[in-house]
Amino acid sequence: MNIVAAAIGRPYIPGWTDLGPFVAEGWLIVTVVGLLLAPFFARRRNLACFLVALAGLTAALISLLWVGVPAPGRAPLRGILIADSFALLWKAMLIVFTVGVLFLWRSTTASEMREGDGPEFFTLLIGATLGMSLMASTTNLLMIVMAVELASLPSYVLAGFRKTHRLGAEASLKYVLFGAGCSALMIYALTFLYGMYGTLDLGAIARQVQGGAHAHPALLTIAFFGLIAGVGFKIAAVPFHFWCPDVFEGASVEVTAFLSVASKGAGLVLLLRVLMTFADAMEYRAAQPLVALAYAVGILGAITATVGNTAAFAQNNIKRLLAYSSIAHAGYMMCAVSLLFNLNGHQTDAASGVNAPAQVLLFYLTVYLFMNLGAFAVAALVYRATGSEDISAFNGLVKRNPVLAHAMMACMISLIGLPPFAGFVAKLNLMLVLMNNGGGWWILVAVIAVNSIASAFYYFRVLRAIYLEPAGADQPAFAGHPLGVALAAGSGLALVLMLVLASPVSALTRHYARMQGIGGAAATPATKPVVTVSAAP
Amino acid sequence: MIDWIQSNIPPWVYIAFIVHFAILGTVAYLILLERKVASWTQDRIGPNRVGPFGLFQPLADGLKFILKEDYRPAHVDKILFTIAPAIMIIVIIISIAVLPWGGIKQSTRQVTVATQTDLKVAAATALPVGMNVIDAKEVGSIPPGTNLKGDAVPRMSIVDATYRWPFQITNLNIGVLFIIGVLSLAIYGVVLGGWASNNKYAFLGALRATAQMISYEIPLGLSVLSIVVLYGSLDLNTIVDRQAHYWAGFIPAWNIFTQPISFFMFLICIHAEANRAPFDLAEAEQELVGGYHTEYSAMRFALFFLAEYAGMITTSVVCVALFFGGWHFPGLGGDVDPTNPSVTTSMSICIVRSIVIFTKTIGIVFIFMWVRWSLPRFRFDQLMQLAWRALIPISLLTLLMTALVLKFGGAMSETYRKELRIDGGLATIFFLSNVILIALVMIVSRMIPAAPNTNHRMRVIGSRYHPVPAPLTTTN
Amino acid sequence: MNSIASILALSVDAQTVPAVLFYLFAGISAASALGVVLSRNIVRTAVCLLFTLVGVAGLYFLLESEFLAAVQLVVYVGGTLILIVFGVMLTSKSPFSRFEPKAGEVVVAIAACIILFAALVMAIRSADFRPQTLDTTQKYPVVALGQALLGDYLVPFELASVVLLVVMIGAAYLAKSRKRDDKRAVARGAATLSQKARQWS
Repeated sequence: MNIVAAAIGRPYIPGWTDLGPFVAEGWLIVTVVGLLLAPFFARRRNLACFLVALAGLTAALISLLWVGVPAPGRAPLRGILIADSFALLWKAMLIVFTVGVLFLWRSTTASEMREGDGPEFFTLLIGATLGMSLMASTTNLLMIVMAVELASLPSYVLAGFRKTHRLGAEASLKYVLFGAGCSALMIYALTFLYGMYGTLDLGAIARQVQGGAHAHPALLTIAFFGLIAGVGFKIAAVPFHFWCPDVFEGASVEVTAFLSVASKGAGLVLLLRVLMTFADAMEYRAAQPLVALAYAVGILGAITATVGNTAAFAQNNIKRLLAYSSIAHAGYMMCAVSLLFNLNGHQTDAASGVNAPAQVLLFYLTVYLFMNLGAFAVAALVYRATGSEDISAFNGLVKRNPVLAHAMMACMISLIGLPPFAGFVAKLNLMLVLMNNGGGWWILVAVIAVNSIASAFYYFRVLRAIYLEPAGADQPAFAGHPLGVALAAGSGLALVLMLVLASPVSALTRHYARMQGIGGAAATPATKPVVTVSAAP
Repeated sequence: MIDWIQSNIPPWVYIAFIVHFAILGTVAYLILLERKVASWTQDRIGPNRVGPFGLFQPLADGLKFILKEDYRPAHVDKILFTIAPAIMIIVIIISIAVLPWGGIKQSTRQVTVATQTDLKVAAATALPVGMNVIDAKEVGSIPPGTNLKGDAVPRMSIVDATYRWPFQITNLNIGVLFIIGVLSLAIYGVVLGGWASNNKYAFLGALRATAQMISYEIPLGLSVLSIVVLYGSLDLNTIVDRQAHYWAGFIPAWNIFTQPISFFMFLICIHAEANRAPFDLAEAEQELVGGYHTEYSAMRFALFFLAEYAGMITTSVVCVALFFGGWHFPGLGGDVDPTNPSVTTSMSICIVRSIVIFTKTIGIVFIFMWVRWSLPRFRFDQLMQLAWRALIPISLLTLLMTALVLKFGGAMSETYRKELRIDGGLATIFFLSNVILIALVMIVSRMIPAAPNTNHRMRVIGSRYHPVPAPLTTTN
Repeated sequence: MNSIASILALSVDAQTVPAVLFYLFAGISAASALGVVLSRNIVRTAVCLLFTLVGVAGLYFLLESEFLAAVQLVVYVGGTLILIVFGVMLTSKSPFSRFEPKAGEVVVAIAACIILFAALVMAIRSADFRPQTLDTTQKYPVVALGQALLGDYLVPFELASVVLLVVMIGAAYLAKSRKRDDKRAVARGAATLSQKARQWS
C-alpha cells in the first residue's frame, strides 16, 4: 500500500550546504524569537530588547562575512532562494543600516517609548529586515510575494507605532490601504505569469518568453505593470508615492529612516534582479517586451525624480522634505535599473559576470545609506532639542551644535551630488554609465542633471538656516545624545571618506555586482523542479 | 424504465432521500427528547398529553409553528432578515451530504457494452456515475451486426462488472474538512439574523456568537487534526475503516482510547459551535431575551430551531466517526477482505451499520442534552479564556504528542507501517502519552501566571452594597 | 470520480450538468461581486462578498479541487470574512458607514474601471493559459499537496509562519489597550457617576 509510505512520507530537510548561505536570515529569525523571550528575563524590557536586537544583527553581520561569496551555479533550497554576491552585499548594507537605525532609536525615541513596547517594536523591525533581505535573494514568484509582505506588513504597524500621535495613525492607515491595493495588483498580475507559463520561477518564465512559445504581449504587459506597481509602492515611485510624505511625517524618526533607505533599497534590488533576469534571457537585445520595460522604468524614474524634487520645494517640515528628497533619489536609482538593453555592447561583462546596473545601484545605495542616516540623525536630534520639525528649528545650528551642523552640511551637499562628498561620485558614476549606454539614455542624464541643479535650491534652504540665519532666543545650544551625535558625525565622515576612497569602494561594489544565473561565467541556469502534483513515491 | 433507472440513477439518490427524511424527522423527536431529558433532570414528568407518552407532541409543535402568524417587525433589513434562517438551515443540510453511514457496498451487475480493451472503463460508462469498478469479466458476447434501423453495431460484450460505492450520499476525500468548512458558514445565519433584526439584544447576541464561534473553531480543527494525522486521511470513511478491528481480540480499536484528550476537546467545541448551554451566551434568555432570534417568529424561528438540532446530529455523527468507530460494532465487519473491513456485499449489513451509527449518534446527542440541563452558563471572559488559554494550547500539545508518538512508536509497529492501523501496542503508547500529557498540563498550568481578571466590576453607586459615600476606586 | 460535479450528473449527458453548475456558480460570484461594489449598506456589501466567495468555492469544486474549495470555505468565508463582518457591524453605526463619493470621483473611478476591465478582457482573450494537468485518478491528492508544502515549497511554507508571527505581534500591539490609562478612565467614570449619585440623593 503506497498510501502508507505516502502518509508517513519523507519531508525535505535541507542540509548545511543548502542553508549555509542563509545563516544571516537564520540569525534574524533567532533574534525575533529572542526578542519575544527577552522580556521574561529582564526588568528594563526596552533596553533588553535593544541589546538582543543589536546582538542578533551583529551575529548576522559576522555570519555574512564568514559565509563570504557563495560559489556560483548552484540553486540552493530547490531553487527557491538565490545566494550570490549581489544579495550578499545588499544584506550586509541592510544589516549595517539597521544597526544604525537601532542607535538612532537609542539616542532619540528610546526615552519616550513606553516601557514594555520595546519587544513589539524590535520584533517588527527585525521582521521587516528579514523580509527586505529575502527580497534581494529570490526570483521565485511565491517567495517574492512572501518577502514583500514580510517587509510591508510590519512597516505598516511601525508607521503607526506612536499610538498617541494622530498623524501617526493617519499615516499608518494610508500606508496600509495603499499597500494593500498595490500588493493585490502585484499578486493578481503574478497569477497571470503563473497561468501563462506554468512555473513560479522567473528564470524559467524568462527563458520561455525568450523562446517566444507563449508570447502574449498584452497579458505580459499587464503582468509587468502589476509587478512594477507592487515594487514601485515599496520604492515610492511616482504613481505609487502618495503614502511616502505622510508616513515619513507621521512615523517616528528611526522608522522614517528605516523606510527611506531599507524599504526603498530592497524594492530597487528586487526590481533590478527581476528585470535583469528577463534582460539576460533576452541576451540584452532590443527585443519587444524588453524595450517597453526599459522605457517604462526609465520614464517612471525620470518622472519620479522630477515630481519628488518639484514637490520638495514647498516643504517646511524637514521630514517631509527628506521624504520628497528620497522619492527623487529613488527616481535616480530607477534610471539605473532601466539599463536593460544596450546598443553599444554588453550590459554584463561576459568574462567576469559583473553587471553594470547592479554596480551602479550598489554604489549609489551605499552612499545613499549614509546620506540619509546622517540627515535623519541630525533632524532627530534637533527635534529632540527644540520639539519642532520645521526648517526654522535649524536656525543658527552652527553656533548651537557645530558637529551636527557640519554633518548636516555634508549630507545635504552629498544629496545634491556636489563635491567634496561621496554623493558626487555616486551620481557621476550613474550618469556615466547611463551616457555610455548610448541610444536615448542621454535624455535621462539630462533629466538627472537638471533635477540635481533644481534640488540644490531646497537643500540650500536647510543649509542657509543652519549657517546664515541667527538662532532665535528660544533656541539655545544643546549637546544631543552622544550616540546620535556620533552617528551623524560618522555618517558625515563616511561621506568624505568614500569620496577619498572612491576607487576602492567602486572596486568593492564592482566585485559584488554579480548575480546568480545572470550573464558571464556565472550564467548557469538554475535548475528548477517543475511544479507537478505527482503520485506519491 | 426500471433498466433505465438502474443504470442511470445512482444509489446515493435514494440514500439522500432517506437520510434527509430520517434526520429531519429525528430532529422533531429530539425536541421531545430534550423536553423529556429536561424533566428527568428536574424531577418532573414532561410532556405527556398529546398522544401516548406525549409522542405526538412534535407534530403538534410543528403544526403550531406553521399556523402562527409570520410576523416581521418594522425597521428590519428585509432581505437579510429573510435569508438569515435560510442560510442556517441550507448549510446544515449541505453538511449532511458527506456523513458516512454504511461503509462501502460492493455489488455485481451484468451490463452489455461495446467491446474495448479496457472493459473496466467500458463497464463504468454503463453504470451510474460515481461507481468505482474494480473488476469486469467478459462472460459472453454479441457479434457485430446491424440493428433494426440498419445501422452497423460493433461487437458487444456481456460483462460481469464488480463495483463499489460508498453507502452514503457522497464520499469526498476531504470529508472532515468539508464539514468544518460548511459548518463554519452556519454562523452567518446567526450574525445576519441578529444584525438584520435591528434590535440591540439580537445584535449583542450576534456579536457574542461571532466571537465564540471564531474562537472555538480553532481547537475544533486542531482536535480533528490529531485524528487526521493518525491515519493520513481526511476521508471519514477511511477513518472509520481503520478503526474497525480489535485490540487483544475484544477491545474495539476506537480512537476514544487512543486520543481521549482530543475527544473531550472535540466534544466541548461542538457544544460551543451548537450554541447550547453552557455556551448559549448568544441566546442567554435572562439577559438577551433570546439573543439573535428575539425578533423571529413562526416558521422562520422554527428554521433556527431545526438548524440547531440538525447541526447537533451532524456534529455528533462526525464525533462518532472520528472517535467511536463509526458504524463499527463488535461482531460487525465486512465480508470481502479482512484488511478492508468497510467493504461488504450485503445490503442488510449496510443497513445495520447505518442503524449502529445512528444509535451511537443519539448517545452523543443525549450527552448534549444532559450537559445543557446540568451546567450553568459561562461568563463571557471565562468562555474566551477556556478557548484561548486552555483548549488551543492543549490541542496543539496533543497534536505534537500525536506526531511524536507516530514518529517513534509508529516506526516500531509493523501493523501501522503496513496498513496504517493502530495495533494494541501503539494504542497503549497513545493512552499512556495522553495520561502523561494531562499530568504535564496540570503541572505546567500551575506554574503559568494567572490570567488577568478582565471582568471589571463597576460598583453600582447608591446600591445596597455600595451606598453613596463609598470609596471611589475600582476593583480589579 | 467522486466529485460533486460528477455525482450530481444525473442525466445521461455528463457534460450539461457541470456546464449548468459552472454558469450558476460563476453567475453567483459575478452578480454578488457587483453587489459588493454597488451596495450602499456596508453590511449588505459584506454579505455580497460572502456569496462571491462561496461561488468561487463552488467553482473549485467543479474543478475537482475539493481541498482548495474546503480551504476557501474555512479560511476566507468562515475566518476572514466573518472578522470583516464583525468589524463592520461594530462600526456601522458610525457616520462613516455610508460612502458619499463626489461626482468627479465617481466619473474617474468608472473610467479607470472600464479601462482596466477592457484591458484585462482583451488580454485574457488573447492569451492561452497553459492548463496544468492534474492527476485526478489519484486517491489522495491532499497527501501530494502536503509533500509539496514540505518539499519543494518548504522555504515559503516555513517563512509563512514567520510572517504570521510577526504580523500577529503587530496586530496585538495595535489592539493592546493601555492598561494604566484604562484604569484611570474607569476611575474617572466612577467619580462622575458618584457625583451624580450624590446630587440625586
